Parts: sequence; C-alpha cells; structure tokens
Amino acid sequence: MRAYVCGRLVSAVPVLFGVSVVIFLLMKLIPGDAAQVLAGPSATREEVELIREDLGLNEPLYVQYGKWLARAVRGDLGRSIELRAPVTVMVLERFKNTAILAGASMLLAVAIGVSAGVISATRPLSLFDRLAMVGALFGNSMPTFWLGLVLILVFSLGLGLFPSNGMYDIRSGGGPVDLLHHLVLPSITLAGVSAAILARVTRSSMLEVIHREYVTTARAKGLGDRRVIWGHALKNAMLPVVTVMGVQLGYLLGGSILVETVFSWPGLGLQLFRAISSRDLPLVQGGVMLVSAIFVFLNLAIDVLYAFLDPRVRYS
Amino acid sequence: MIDRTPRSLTSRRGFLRTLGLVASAGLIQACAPAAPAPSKPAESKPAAPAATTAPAAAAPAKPAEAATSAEAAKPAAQTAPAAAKPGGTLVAGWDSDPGALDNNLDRGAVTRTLLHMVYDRIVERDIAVKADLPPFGPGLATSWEVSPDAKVYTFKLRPGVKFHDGTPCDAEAIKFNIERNSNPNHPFYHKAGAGANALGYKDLDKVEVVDANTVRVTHKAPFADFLNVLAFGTYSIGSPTQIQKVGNDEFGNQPVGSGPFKYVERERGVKVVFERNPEYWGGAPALDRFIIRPLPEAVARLTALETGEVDWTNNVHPDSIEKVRANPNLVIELAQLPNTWGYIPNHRAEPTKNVKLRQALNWAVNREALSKDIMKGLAVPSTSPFAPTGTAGHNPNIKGYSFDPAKAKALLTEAGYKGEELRFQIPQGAVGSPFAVQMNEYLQQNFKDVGINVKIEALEAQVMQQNLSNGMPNDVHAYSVGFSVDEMVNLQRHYRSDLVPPNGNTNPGWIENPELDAKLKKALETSNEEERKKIYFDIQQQAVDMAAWVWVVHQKGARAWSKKVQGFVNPNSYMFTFKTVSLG
Amino acid sequence: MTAVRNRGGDRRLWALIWARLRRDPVALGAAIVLLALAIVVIAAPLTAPRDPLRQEPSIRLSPPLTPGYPLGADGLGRDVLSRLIWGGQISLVVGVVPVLLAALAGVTIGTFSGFFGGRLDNVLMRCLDVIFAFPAILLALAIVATLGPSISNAMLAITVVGIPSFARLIRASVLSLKEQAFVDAARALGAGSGRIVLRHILPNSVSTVVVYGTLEVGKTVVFAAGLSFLGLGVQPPTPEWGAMLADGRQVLAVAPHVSTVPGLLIFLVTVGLNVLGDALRDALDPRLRG
Repeated sequence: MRAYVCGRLVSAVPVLFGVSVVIFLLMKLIPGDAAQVLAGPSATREEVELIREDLGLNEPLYVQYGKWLARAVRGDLGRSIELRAPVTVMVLERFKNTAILAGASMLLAVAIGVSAGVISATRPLSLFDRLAMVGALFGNSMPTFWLGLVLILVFSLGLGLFPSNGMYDIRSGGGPVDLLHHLVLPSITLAGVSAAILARVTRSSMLEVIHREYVTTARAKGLGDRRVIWGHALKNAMLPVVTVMGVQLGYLLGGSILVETVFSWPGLGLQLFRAISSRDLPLVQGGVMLVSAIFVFLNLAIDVLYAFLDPRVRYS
Repeated sequence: MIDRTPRSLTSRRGFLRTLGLVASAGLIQACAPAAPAPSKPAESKPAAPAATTAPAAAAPAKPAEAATSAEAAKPAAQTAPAAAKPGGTLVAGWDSDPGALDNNLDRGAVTRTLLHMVYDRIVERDIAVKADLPPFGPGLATSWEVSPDAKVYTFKLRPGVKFHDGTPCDAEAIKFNIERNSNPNHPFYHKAGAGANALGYKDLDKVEVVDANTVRVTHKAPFADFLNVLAFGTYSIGSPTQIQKVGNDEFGNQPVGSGPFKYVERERGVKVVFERNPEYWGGAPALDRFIIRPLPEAVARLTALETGEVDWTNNVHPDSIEKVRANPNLVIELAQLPNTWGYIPNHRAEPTKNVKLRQALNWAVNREALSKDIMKGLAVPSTSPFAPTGTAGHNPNIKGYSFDPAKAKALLTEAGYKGEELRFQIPQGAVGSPFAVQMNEYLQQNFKDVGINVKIEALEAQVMQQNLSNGMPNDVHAYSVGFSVDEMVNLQRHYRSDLVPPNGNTNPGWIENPELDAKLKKALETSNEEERKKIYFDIQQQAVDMAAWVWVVHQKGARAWSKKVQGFVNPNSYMFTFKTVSLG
Repeated sequence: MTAVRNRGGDRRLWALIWARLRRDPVALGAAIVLLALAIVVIAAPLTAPRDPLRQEPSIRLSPPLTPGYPLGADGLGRDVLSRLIWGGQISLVVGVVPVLLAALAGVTIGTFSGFFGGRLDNVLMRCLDVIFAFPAILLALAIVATLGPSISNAMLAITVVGIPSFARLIRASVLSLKEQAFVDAARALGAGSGRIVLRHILPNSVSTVVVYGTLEVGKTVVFAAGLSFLGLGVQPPTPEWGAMLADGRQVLAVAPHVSTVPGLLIFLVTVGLNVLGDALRDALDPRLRG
C-alpha cells in the first residue's frame, strides 16, 4: 500500500513541473506583455522599455523561468506585476472565495444528487424516478452561464429575492447570513451539472449493487433481510459515487470562471482570467499551479481510496 | 490509470409524458418578462435635526441605509466648502477594480480618478465645479511665474499643507517627487513613473528649492504647455516619508497623499475603502468614508443601484438609461467626456493613403443615427479632434464632415477604389466602452452601404495596445481608437511625424506631413496663449481637410446615483470627485 | 471513426443502433429533431428569413413575436432567428470537428500507449496528465489568447483539451482487450501487431468511441459557447450562439430574449445529443452501464 502511495506521489511531481513549464511558455507566447499594460495606453516605446527592464522581462526565457522556479520551490511565488502584491497572498485570498462557492455547490449537488439517486434506485421506473432522470438529463445539458443568467433574471431582477452579484453586501459588513444569501444563486447554478451526474451515477451504482446483493442473498437465505441488504448495498454503491464526487470537486474548483463572471463572484477563476488578460505572468503561474496541484492531489487521493478499497488496483 | 469516466444508466421509458411536462418549464423561463426591480423599501427616518444650514436644494430625508444618520446637504459647486455637518458612508459601484494607487502610474481612468481624491497636484483642473470645461487653476501652488522663453517655471506653494502622515508638503517634497521621476541617480528613482511622466519631465534641466514654499523648475527647451501637463493625474505628489519607508514597489499599496480622502484598506475585487482627511487644506469633505465596489457587469451595477446596495454608479449602459430615468429614486446625468472615438487610417498603405478614400470614409458615417439610436444619446457626433464641451482645444469654427453617402461614393470613384477588403482592428471589451464592438458593427454597415468593404478584427485590449506601439503593418488599414483628447498639446502626440512608432504609440497610422510638423513645432515655441491657440486651430482644420482620422463620435459618461446623494458634481471629464458629496 | 475494414463489425454497429432507435421513440425523436436542425442550419441561405447582418436600429431590442421578427431583434436590430440559423453552422462545426479531431488523436495515442505499453505508455500518459491537470477552460483560454481569438483557434484549443479523455478511454479498452483470448489466437496464427490492432482491437473499441463522442459533442457545443461568452471565439459581426448570449448580457434587464433564446437553443440541442448518446450507449456498449 505504501509503495503505491509513494509511487503516485512521485509521479505527481513531473506533472506539476510540466504544468508550470507549459503555462510559462504559453504566457510568453501570447502577444502583448505586462510592461505594456503597466505603462498604460499613452506610453511611448521607451517608457515601456524602462518598465520592461525593471521587471526583468528582457532576460532570456530560461533565466526567467529558472528564477521563478528557484523561488517557487521555496514557497515564494513572486509579486503580481499589475497589483504589486505578493502572489501567494492574492491567490489564497481568492481561492478561499472559490472554495466557499465550490464547497456550497458540492454540498448542494451531493444532497440533491445522491438522495435523488438513492430514492430513484429504490423505486425504479416510478414517477419520481422518471422525473429525477429527466431532471438529471436537463442538468447535464444546461450551459451554466445560461442557467446563471436565467436565475438572475427571475430571482434577482424579477422577484428581487436574491442579490445578483458579489459575496457580501458592502454596507452590512458581511456575516454568515449575508454570505448565504449571496451564495444561493451562484451555487445552484454551479451545482446543476454535478447534481445531475451524481444522481445518475448513484442510481445506476445502487441498482447494480442491489440487484447483486438481493439475488445472492435471496438465493442463499430465501428472502433475506431487507435492512441488511440496504445497509450493505448503500455502502458498496458509494464507491463509484465518491469517485465521481472527487472528480466533480476538481471540476468545480477549476471551472468556476463562467459562474464567477456571471455573478461577479470574486473567485480565483475570475482573477486568473483577468491576469491572463493583463499578461500578469507571476499571478497566472501562481494561480494555475495552485489549481493544478489541487487537481493532481485530488486525483491522487481518489486513486489511493480506490486502491485501498479494491486491492486488485494496487498491482496494476 | 483507471478510467474514471462515470458509468451511468438512464432509464427513459415513459419519457414522453414527463419530458413534455418538464420541458415547458424551460420555455416559460425564456419568455419571462423583465419586471422592474423594486428598490428596497426606504425606511422613513424622522426629518434630520434642523440645527444645520439647510440650503434650499436639500431633499427631505429619504435614505436607504446610511451607516450613520445623515444630515443636511452641503451647498454644491464649491471647492472650499463651508463647514457642513459630516457623516455617512457612500458606496459607489464602479466598472472595474482600481489598480495600485501609485501617484505616478497611469492605470486607467478609474484609478486616476482615485489619484485625484487621494493626492494633490501642483496645478489642477477643478472637477468639483459645474462648468462646460473644468477650469484650470491653483492646486498645491497658489501662483506661478513663467519666464518669457517658457523654460523656467517658479511656483509659490500653499503654506501649511500636510500629507496624511503628518509630514509637510513643501518645496522639498515637490522636488523629491519631480526628481524621483526624472533623475536616474535619485535614491528612489521610479523607472516606471519616469516613463509615464516623460512628456513633462523629459527635457528637465533642474529643480530648485528657492525657499520652504517656493520651487523653481527649469527646462532645457521651451515648454509652453508644461502647466497643462502638470494637472494630469500621474503628476500627483506623494509623501516622501512614506515612499522612503515602504519603497517604490509597495507605495501604490500603501499610498499617502495630501488629498481630501485617505486610503484605508482594500479587498481585491470586493471593495476599496477611503476615509475623510479632516485636515484637508480645501476643507474637509462631508462624508465619513466612501467605498468603491467593483462591478464589471453593467446589469450588476444597475441592479445594485436599484436595490440600494450601492448609492452611486458610473458607466450606465445606453439601453438602461430610460429605466433609470423612469425611477423616481434615482438621478442620472450624462457628462461629456473629452473623448474622441473613431478610426486612425493607415497613411502609408494602399488604399487608405489616398486622401480621397479617407474622406469618403468620413462622409460615409451616419454619426447622428449612431449617437441617437444606438448610443441613446451617450455620444455626440464628432467632426473634429476635440469634443465640443469639456475640452480646451475645441475649435467652434471648424468645418468638418457630415453624413453624405453620395459624396462618399463620388470620392470612392475618384480615388479609384475597386472594392478591396480593408482590415480594421478594434479592441474588444475595453473597460468603459463595452459597447465598442456593436458601434463598430454599425459603422461596418455604413461603409458597406457606400461600397467600402471593411472586415473587422476584434483583438484583446492588450494586443491592440501593443499594435499601437508597433504601428500599423501594411496589410492593416485602420485601428479603432478612443483617445482622451482634451488639451491642445495632444495634437502634438497625434500628428507629429517624429512621434510615429517606435517613438510613441499615439500616431500609429504613420501621419507624416511636413506642413503639419512645421505648424506643430511653431506652436510648441509660442508662449503667447492667443497666438498658440490660433496655430492649433489651424492645425485642426488642416487635419480635418486631409482626413487624417475618421472622426465618429465623442462619447459621454452616464453616471447615476440615488437621490440621497447630495452635492455630487458631474464634471465633463473622465475624473470626478466625492469631496463635495454628503448623504441627505 | 471507422478506419475499420471489418465490414461485419460495421453492419453490426448500425443494426444495433437502428434496432435500439426503433424501440425507443424518444431517442428516435431526438435523432430526427437533431437531423432536421442540422439540415435547416446547413441550408441557411434558404431557411433564414433575413440577412443575419442587416441592422435596423429603429427596431432594436424588439421582443419575440414582433411582426417579421419571430424571435425578436438584438441590440443592433438584427433578426435573432436568422442569426440563430446562421450561427448554427458555426456551432455545428465547432461542436463536431474538435470531437472528431480529438477522437482521432486520442484513439491513436491511446492505442499505441495501451498496446505497446512500457516506456512509451508512461511518457505519453504523463504528457496527457499535464494537459489533464489544467482546468479545461483556463487552458483553452490561454491557447486562444496565444494564437489570437478566432473560431479555428478556439477549435484547436478545444481539441487539445479533449484529447486526454479519448486517449484514456481507448487505452483502458485496449488494455483489457489485449489480454483476451482472441488476440492470442490471432498471434498464434501469425498476425503482426499492426494487423491485430487494426482488425481485432480497434473494431471492438469503436462503439465506446462512438458513444463517448456523441456525448462529447453536446459538451463541446456548450464549452465553445462558453469561450465565445468570454470573448474568445468568433469575430464580429459573425453570429454564433455563445457570442449572442454574451451580447445580450448587458441588456438583460430590458430585453432578456437576446440572451435567453440562444441559451435555450444550446440547452435543447445538448439535451437532444445527450438523449441520443444515452440510447447509443445502451445499444452498443452494455458494459458502460456500470
């Protein structure tokens, strides 16, 4: 077991390294540079040159990357070019906001998706089941940015029930109730797809396990205790569900930019989008590295969980 | 690697019924009528205690949620207000998150507006008075002398001005600030700032402290427009003590100036907080604090204003103007920005190097329809380099272009245009002009109607920026630009042949006309203001005659606020200030 | 997808699909509707009532059911219905082409990787991991920003983002297949690697690819619309569903139809594709039922 975990950890390193190189190269290839942005619309070439030198952008690529890497492994991700603040601080600040949104969406998705899936599995082909599966189909097909706009249209502009943007009401200064109020629409939007997928996976997984257990036990014992079957079935069925949950969490953390755009949620996705637009290389690298690292370790955790529960996997 | 693609089963028997039921929900949503958002019910507070000067214009107290009880409004339109009762926190929704508040860097109009509130400059354009053109006047300097050869400027400073950290803002401080941005040997030499302020400090000879309140600046060459340049936001004066304490890099995050508001704190993307400077030499502002809330979405700004989440917002979308006007709790005003929006054609490449083609482009544009129907009044037709109000350089007697498709077609034939495709590059999603793409699409139709075949390429704002620096390549025929053109000295930047790339990025169309150059040079050397004005007017007419640009519109800025915001002056400028505001 | 010369397999594939569709009216309905939509869209010059680029400022933002403009007009007075039809061409291309390309590349990589294993497998999988570790939308964003916003660059970006999943899918399939008896038999009969792969392994993976591909097309249409929504796709004034949605955002409060109608269309098309994909999967690859 330990060998497996160590093996996976070790293989994660070159992946992260690769990510940092790719992002570095991409940002360097993008036309336009940070010095230009900093200098502003009315600067002359020489002004831009001065800034460029100040930022060390004229050094050869491998030197620039090397400097970044040397500092990064020590935990110093540099300073944002545009905002001059330390990248680590900025990224973590915004990541917290994205995590709140992703967390709330995950909770919602699990609550709705898994319970719908379980109930559907217990009453296959009933009205509930059919409605739930239609709902899952819709949720799966929904473009998140459209759903967000529609929700804003109906619940914010139309009924005035929920705010249409931001995390806190500036005046009242925050507090958990205010946060929840602001969280409702964006988390519903983000949770849609995940809930749909979870519902379907839970349902199919449960169905398969129930069938197996029921048939086996029925053969062995005659009729078998329903509760035992249920308890057993549920546990076994959860494995693929948990796997999917992990994948979904990764997707939520990394792909929240569309929802953040629609709702002006001050999260990491939005920050990275802006950073790419302003060619703020340190910020982009720092942010992408953080998200990728989380992604990679999340996958790793899922693999380890799988391996733990299913010994066959360890030896493949 | 295990394939973790979820495996799922869907049972869809009997789908038809349920599908029909549920699908209708989607359709209903699509046709949801847009009911106007009700503004939050206003709690009626008891009328404010009458122990204050209550000017006739004060509206009865009708607040939504002022942090403290607000009292009677200060009289508006005064730069040195009488002692008014202070109070309240103003929340303003802006269209972008301000950049670092460095006193010498240009991070765009939004940030520069804040520079005007946190810092002072030697001279100012007063944006706190209602006027066609913000008047030019004293700032930190109360008076000045200019030598006849326009090389030496002596400023007498206002005594007793202090920075927010208590240190004095005197001649030494001014010297520090200027040298920091011009002398590479200065211990706190600010490379980026030197770049941004090159126009003002490039030909600097020396800065001398004559006495505690007098400073003398000497240039190597005549610089008649120096004063106009000094009023610009990047020439703000910051506290040398603070700069020395935190260093160049960090100063923008911990700014200390001498202006009416002090910086308190910020949370990126969420808010930036400022508070009153009680020691301000121009009289302390009435507000306790104001908070900027960045809301890049036009709809979000509108909703926030309607629900009372914010009290003030800028950049109202043209299509929402009616809605705001119809709302009895809100005020909306349009300010003429010193903005010139249009195209810079390529003067070196075929076919736009032909003056007749450029003229045809000018005659083909239906400026009226664009301004009225599409922009809903958020723009005025432009036929010359300067906007009719809000700019010092406007020539009221200029003969410009109008909408004349017939003339355009005739000129096209004369020019020998055979329908070749013209590539126009436009910035996409520039802050402050989210409408730009639609405007360009409209113009494309205008051009098509007279037979000019224009292809639009929408590039990221950053890429456009770089293209401006590099100049137009031979196969690109125009850039869409929206420059801030207010002072006459701007004509130098746009039309001088020695400022084509790589020497500058304001003449990317390669305008190289010896006659224009000669006139522009003469203007720089003429210190008599009347004479200089005549020369610049002549330059403008020549530029128009040769169709140097395709002038389309001058944009306006729509700003809206709730009725409880009193005393806000909406100047004809990109900048504005909250120092005259109180919450009623 | 069928670089397969196994005619027998082909016929079986289609037979299975047809049999399933006949039994499942909903899936059949979805297939027919999608086909009809594709035809309408391809025949845009004939089916679109108006010029999608023609601006009429006087009727801008008219709501749906205005006479002459069944789905209303946008911010410049252009007919939404015509723009949707013409825009469908782009959405069609952008939905299908990247999936085809990603499938091609992914199948190739996955097959090589799975069949030959060893070092090659490791290296290839690591590279794919790097792509996979990026949040898809940010990677696509960065690629488009690098190459310049345009439809072809958007398609390239989407293709790159989609390759790892196909590769992994095929690799898993190949891995399990190559241990099976019929491969040993073929080898015993003297078949070389290439032949084994082409004649025996690939055909059995085809159905997996077809099912996954169909489901991916829906997701790709949405993803591409998302990129356009962020401003990185078509160039104005070309109509495209995602871009139309973005255009309408600013006027959401006064003319919601400009955004909601294109979004509804994207939604419905994706639903149709998902229904079809599910039916295909049920028919062709019961293993995926899980």
